[in-house]
Amino acid sequence: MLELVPGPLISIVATLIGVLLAADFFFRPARARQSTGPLAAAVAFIALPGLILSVGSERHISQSKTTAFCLSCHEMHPYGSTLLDPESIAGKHFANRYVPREAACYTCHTEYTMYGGLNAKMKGLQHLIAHYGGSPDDPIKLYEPYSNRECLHCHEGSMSFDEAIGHGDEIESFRTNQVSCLKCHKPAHGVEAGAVTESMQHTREFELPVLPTGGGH
Amino acid sequence: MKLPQSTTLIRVGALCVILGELIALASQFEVGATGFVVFIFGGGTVTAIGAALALLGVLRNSPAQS
Repeated sequence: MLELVPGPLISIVATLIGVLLAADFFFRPARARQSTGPLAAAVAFIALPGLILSVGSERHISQSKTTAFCLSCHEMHPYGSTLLDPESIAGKHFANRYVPREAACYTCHTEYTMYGGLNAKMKGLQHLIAHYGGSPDDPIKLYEPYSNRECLHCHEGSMSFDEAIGHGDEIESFRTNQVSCLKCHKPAHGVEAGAVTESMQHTREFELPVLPTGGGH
Repeated sequence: MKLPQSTTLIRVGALCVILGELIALASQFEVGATGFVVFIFGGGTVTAIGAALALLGVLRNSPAQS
């Protein structure tokens, strides 16, 4: 399985040391007057909290790439459901393992550009603001039209892509987004209007069922 | 405005740092938007405020100040 999230051991150990050092200052504040006081304070209140928050940020950023993270919001439940619908593009990719199942949303909804990962994080913050502070569109709309670049990143040059009728003649149109891949390959998700609003009216958690992993050799 | 005694600042700051670090750790076991928000506003903010208070107390209480 793709390891997306580093182990929590370093977080636990750093937090334990940080808490013990801070507790020492809590119970013996007079130690600040000792010659080593400022150095100990710098470790307890600057270095260790910095390390703990850095490691925590890394873990949260790694977790934000997972399918479970995306589907933790009710607005996304209808879209998560389509991962199990073999008629949708999302479902085909999920069922056939064209995308890693533990990072299904992130794999297709991140731009394959130099700053694609950073842009995805910024959009993720917009999602958080919309989730906690506003009301999302129903159905949810992308901030900008889906670029063929994300499809071609994996599909262009593959045998099945090259052999498909019409792909060879139109490849330049695909590259320049003059013709969308979704013109023929649809629906991307197939979520109907009203589904998002309905999903936000219940509190149940969405869980993807465990799919068979396939036979061994 | 008169600042609290330096020992009070250190104690309050250290307590906030302890709480913030524990919140930051606990939030990492919640995969989702809630865990992320708790990490930023619970863990990060509380720790930063606590560290600032404690350092202020330490600076006011350091041997150089006596």
